[in-house]
Amino acid sequence: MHSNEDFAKSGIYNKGEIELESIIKSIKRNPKIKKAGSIHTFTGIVRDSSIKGKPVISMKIDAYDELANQSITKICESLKREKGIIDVIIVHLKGEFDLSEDLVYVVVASAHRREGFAAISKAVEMYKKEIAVWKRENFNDGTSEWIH
Amino acid sequence: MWILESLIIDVYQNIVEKMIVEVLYFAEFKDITGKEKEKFTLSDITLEGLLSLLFEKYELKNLIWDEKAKKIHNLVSIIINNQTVHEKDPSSIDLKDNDTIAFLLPVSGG
Repeated sequence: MHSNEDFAKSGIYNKGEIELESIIKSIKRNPKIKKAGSIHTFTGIVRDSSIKGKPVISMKIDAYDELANQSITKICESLKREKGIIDVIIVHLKGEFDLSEDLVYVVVASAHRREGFAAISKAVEMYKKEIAVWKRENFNDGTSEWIH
Repeated sequence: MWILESLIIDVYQNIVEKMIVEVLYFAEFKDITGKEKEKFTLSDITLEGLLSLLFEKYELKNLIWDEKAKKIHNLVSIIINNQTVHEKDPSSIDLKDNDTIAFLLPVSGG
């Protein structure tokens, strides 16, 4: 796991190990931050229904840390090569989550707002497809299902 | 000459018999096995041998094995030592002592 005392780094963390505020603080400590005109954030949280409309009461997130961290690093490096993108941090939490609890943070610092919004959207699409993380929705009827 | 041959066979069998690999379990695999990881001692140097042991011990066959195609499901990623293996025929995938293996279903980030 990572230490969040100094710089918050991208990667997989246990629930409760890191907060959005510390990620934003880290982004602001990037030596290139003066070139940024905006900081964008995305927070993925637990919804109360599945994609099929089934009532969800809680969620479990499992991750293959080594593999997921490799993929997250690749995504961040790829986005940081894009014009106007100063810094990108992606944090995915794992463990047991109640409704509305935070699951994912994506924070992007960009020179201008447009490339920042675009990078957030790309980062979300990429991590959903590429990182070794799985979610299990627990339903109100006592059943549960791993989503693929 | 036969002494040399039998020595080579002895050494080979010794290596094969002592081959220990570790399997990491995620998502459904963790729920079904009740474990995060597990070590197996193999007498077969291919992934086929490991699959036989896994299927004997746990209800994992439906998740991993494509019965029609007689190979690992295309949707299942085989990871050995944190690297993806693209071959899906387990008899063509060699394992080494101390290898770490994982079978991954399609991901679903939050």
